[in-house]
Amino acid sequence: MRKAALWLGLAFILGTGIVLGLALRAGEKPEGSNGFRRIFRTEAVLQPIDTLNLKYDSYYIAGRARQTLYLGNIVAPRHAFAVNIQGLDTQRIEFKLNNPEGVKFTSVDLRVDSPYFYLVDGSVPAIFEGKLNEKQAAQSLSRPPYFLELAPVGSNSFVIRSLDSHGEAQLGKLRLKPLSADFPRRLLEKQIDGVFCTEGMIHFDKGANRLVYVYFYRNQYIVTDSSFSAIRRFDTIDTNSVAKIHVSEIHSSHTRTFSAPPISTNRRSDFYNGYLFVNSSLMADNEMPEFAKASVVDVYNTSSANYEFSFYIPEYNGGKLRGFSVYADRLIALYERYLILYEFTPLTKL
Amino acid sequence: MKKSTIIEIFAFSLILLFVYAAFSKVLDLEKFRIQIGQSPLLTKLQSSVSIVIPLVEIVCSMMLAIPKYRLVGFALAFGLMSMFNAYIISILQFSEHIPCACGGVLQFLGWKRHLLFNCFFGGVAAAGFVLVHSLTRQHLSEKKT
Repeated sequence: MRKAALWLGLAFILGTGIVLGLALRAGEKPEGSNGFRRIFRTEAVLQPIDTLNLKYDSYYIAGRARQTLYLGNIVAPRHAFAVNIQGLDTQRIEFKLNNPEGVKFTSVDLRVDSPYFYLVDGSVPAIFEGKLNEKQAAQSLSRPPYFLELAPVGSNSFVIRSLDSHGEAQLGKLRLKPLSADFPRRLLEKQIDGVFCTEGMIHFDKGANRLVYVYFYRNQYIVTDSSFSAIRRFDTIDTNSVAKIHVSEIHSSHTRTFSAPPISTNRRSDFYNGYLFVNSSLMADNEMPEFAKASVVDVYNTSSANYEFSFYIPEYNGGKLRGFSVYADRLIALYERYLILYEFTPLTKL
Repeated sequence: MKKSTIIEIFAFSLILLFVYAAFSKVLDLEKFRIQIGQSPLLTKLQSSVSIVIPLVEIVCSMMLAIPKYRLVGFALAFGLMSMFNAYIISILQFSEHIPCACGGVLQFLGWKRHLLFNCFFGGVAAAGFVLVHSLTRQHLSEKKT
């Protein structure tokens, strides 16, 4: 019996040992510097004010309407939270869906553009529209084209990221009543495959009519407006000018997908009052190893293209940052299942 | 139930699992290769891992099918299951890119269930090993007397 246990123990150690070795090797940071530096300011340190336990880790930041932050839920798409950024007062929302056609969703996203909200699924494709105070959404009468990403930019008006006639992903304009979709300008620049290499995040500030697109895999962001009339391309501080991704086709299912882990430069972002906040995944040459424990955010002025400064969003309870939003002198950070409200004052001094 | 019957059932269920797992990989090797490539742990060993894993699974099920090698087969199956579980746990530490980058949380649920599934079959392999081991010892001591 003891001999049997010994053999099983050996098999266990061998099996886990191989994986442990691989994990340690993969965890090693590549040597050499990334060739850029960050500016840290002493006053740009976050002061935690309040904490909210969401109980589930399936929430994501769906949008902000002035000082109200909306959290959508991946698992239960009709369930949402409205959180007041000033004091974390929270309101549970249950959306009613008027769905006589019985649309079957694959992945639903909540988008908020006060007083409206949208439950959208670009792979169906379907857009359900409703008023936030009525909490009831009905499907748009006209069928939108397939889209990869969607951001509301006004009543009945959206910016979408969708495939154009060349099979490349481009930013386009979508209206529903009456239905129209077009790509007035080629905003996104193909580097590798034209779909994955141009992935990114869309931000829109209605008051300033400013649209910002932040690429995930290259050191660039685009500043324009909802009709794409003036386009300005700015660089973020790191040196990854070409997307480091590998894309392959799986012939059996006619799909294209990543064939190596993509290296994202701009992981998460938010846009407030003309300032772009980018959570970067690249370490600067003047940073210490604690970089790995916190999430660094670089602040850019989208009018002047200036890089202003950087700050850290700390870890919470060992949980990783999943999203953040800035409003006035507040920063709200979403971790696995916690929302932390921080005081964040340096913006007022810029 | 007789010990030998239980051993047969354990061996058979593991053979079924490994043969199914190996063939679903081999039948769409291109897809499997790409999925391996997406893993931060395995991306550099893409080509070798995508061949070695199904190969080891087939060798393991062959050993489980032949009574002479069954003891080693159970040990190998247990080692494989431990390896797969260790892989799942370590890939969760790299949560930024989980292979097949679809829905984050749905993926997590999948991994957790997978972990339980592997634990179950790891338990089957360990139990099978202990049973075969005790039988052979019994056998040997009977021979001696």
